[in-house]
Amino acid sequence: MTTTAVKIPIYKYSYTIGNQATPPAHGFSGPVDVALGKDGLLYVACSYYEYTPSWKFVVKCNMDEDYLTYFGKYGEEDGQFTWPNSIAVDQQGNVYVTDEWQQHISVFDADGIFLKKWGTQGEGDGEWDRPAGIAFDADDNLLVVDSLNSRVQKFTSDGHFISKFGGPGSGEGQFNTPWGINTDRQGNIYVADWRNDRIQKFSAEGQFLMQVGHSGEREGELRRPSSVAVDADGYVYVVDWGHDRVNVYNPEGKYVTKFIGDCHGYSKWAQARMNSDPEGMAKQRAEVSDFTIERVFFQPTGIEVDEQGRILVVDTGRHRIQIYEKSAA
Amino acid sequence: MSASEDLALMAHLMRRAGFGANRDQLETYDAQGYEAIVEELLNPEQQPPFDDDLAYRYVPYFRMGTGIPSYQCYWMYRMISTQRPLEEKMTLFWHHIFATSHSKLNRNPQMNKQLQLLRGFAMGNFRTVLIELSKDPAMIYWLDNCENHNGAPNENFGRELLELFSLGVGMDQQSNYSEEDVKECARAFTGWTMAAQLPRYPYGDYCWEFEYRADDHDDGEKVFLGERGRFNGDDIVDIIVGQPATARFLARHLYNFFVADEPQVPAWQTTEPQDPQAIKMLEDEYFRSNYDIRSMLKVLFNSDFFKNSRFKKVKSPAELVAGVMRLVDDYTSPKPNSHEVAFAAAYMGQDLLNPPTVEGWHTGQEWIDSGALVERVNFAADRVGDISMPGVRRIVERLEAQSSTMTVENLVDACLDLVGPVPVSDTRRSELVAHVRREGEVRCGTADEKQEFKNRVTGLLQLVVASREFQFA
Repeated sequence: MTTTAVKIPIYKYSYTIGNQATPPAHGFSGPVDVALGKDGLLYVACSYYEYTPSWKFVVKCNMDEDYLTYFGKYGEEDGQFTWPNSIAVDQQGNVYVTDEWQQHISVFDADGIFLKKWGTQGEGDGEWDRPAGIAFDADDNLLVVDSLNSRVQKFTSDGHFISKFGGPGSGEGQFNTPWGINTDRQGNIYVADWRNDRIQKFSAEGQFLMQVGHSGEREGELRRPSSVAVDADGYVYVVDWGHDRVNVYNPEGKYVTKFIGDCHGYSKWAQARMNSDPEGMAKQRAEVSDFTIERVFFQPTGIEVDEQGRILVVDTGRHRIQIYEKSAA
Repeated sequence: MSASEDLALMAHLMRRAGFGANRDQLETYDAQGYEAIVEELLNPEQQPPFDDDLAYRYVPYFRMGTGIPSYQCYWMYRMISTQRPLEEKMTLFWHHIFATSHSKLNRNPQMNKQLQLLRGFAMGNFRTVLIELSKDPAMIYWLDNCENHNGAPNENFGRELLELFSLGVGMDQQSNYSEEDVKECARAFTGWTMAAQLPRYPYGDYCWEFEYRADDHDDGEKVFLGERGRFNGDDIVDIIVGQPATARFLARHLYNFFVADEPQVPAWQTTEPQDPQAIKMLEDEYFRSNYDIRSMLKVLFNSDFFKNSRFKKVKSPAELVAGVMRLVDDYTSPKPNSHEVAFAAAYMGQDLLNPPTVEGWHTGQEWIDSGALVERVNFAADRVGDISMPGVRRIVERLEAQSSTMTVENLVDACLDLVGPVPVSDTRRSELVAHVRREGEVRCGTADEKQEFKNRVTGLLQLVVASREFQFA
């Protein structure tokens, strides 16, 4: 019998963006998703406390850790959020944010100026119940995870319904409270089927192609995956939300490795924070011998792969984005 | 016992062993029978676990927040929506006794971790309870045991372990321990500390972990409560749990929390229990079961003294808030603005995870002052007056179905029944009847009459929850 070894790419932690801060201070508060703009732009949706209005917002920054601006706050007026869940950028650079409680998608220009919102709660075509993950396909159409209706709907970027697929259940092509969504370079669609503990891969037309991962506690198994991204080689990165890790699968869906978080050193903004109280923080840190807890993910939620193949993991509970690089398999 | 009496007894059980129940739930429980429900409450693992995944998905800060409201909101949400009410009620019970506050810790996830600990041993063995409590970093920091060193003891934890967590100052006019016992207890717990932890910034808060430092432990001989040996902390706990005073202390706490308001704890040395026989039953079960809390609770809930204790306790703010929310059947799944509910308990005088002192809250009638009463009435009246609340809507629907033959008196009695049942004095009932009668006879035929009927019912419900009787559990 011959066996074929699974090629395992080599991954290396690169750096971290962020630290815990509320606007206008430079940082994130409970970042839940990241969207990639052009030329290294990032939009990070944050969903933190509700008892003051300043903890629901979007940060515009870049991969060089430059903090550019922020927009939005807690509330139900135009441009405000209750439960921001997912964020995406269209080909014109406009920014789309889903709000699961308000049941709509808000659209902002690249600088965060509110443009419009749409959405109606319901079960009909073009309606939804808890819009969760969103992603644009190559045609600049918007894929929306209609979470409580257990389906995916496709819209034009100005909100006109095009098509849908899925339904409630645990069979192929069915969902249970799905969350994140993404596409690969071939236009295939990947959905984080949250309550079914798996990723499902579909053709651009919504035809079921493959399941990635399954429920369990062992290596490669999943517990409530929240988000998914795919690199240029077809490797699938799954935020294994319930296990505080990211699982990596090859293009055939075979598990290859995981990240558990490797942040060491400080992000640019964290360093600035440290500089503000060098003695106090340094004194406390000097007494600590094990820094593992600071390095690892805590409630990671979102994930993206940028044009350079860098993997951005939204480390929600640590208010930062950890970035990994991949070298050839 | 009549059917209505059975239901009233079930409502009593659910108010005390849980946070109340609405009528639909009560009827379901009642169909299973009292003893069966007691067993169900005592064995929470038979019920579905709390759906933390759902909570954390929609409200991420319930798990990773660094502010104390995160965990106050999360806990209140659990009290309202858990399917294991006694487990959560016992968590509150232990929080009353092992009162720890975030105000000193300033490491808020640690408070949630303490709640997880309390929930984990909620109905376990009291020896385990005290051992785990002694290893809890929140408690260690709160009572300075991290400053309790070999050769330089800090007596704070040792003193409170005896005074507030196990023996009590005294009983039957006698002291339960001496100052020397406190000092020896403190020596035994030297070296029980926690490892240093990272600061909150830049990446969020972290919890401490327990650490035993043998090199900082005083291993010398000690004399404690008449016993001699080179005691460590767990040896001290072994001696404590075998004391009659511990049985008395725990029995009185259980009685005070679940049965009827007792005098405040500092008075227990000189004030006899109001029901010595009940306390004796619980003490006996404590020793018979080898210090098992679940066994004591089983005796308590199945006893006549419990069944006959209806409305002899003032609801704590947490009980009132969670009970009202369960009555109106709101917040059964995650919603925004959970702080509006959680903070309400604080406005009424019970800021969860922030008790005023290590002694905890003074309970019973001390929950009520003019400001707190206004908060309690307004909170309850706002909810039951809101027809959009599922529980309120169902009350109105039940009453609509009977409205064709309903007199004013019937309507008042039915509202009192569906909110509790709440037994009120004849005077109170007459006042309610007179109020409703001012608006004419009960009619619910035309569309206008139906709307008016809803308004009358919700208005009447508001008067019921504003009554003195509703303040009692």
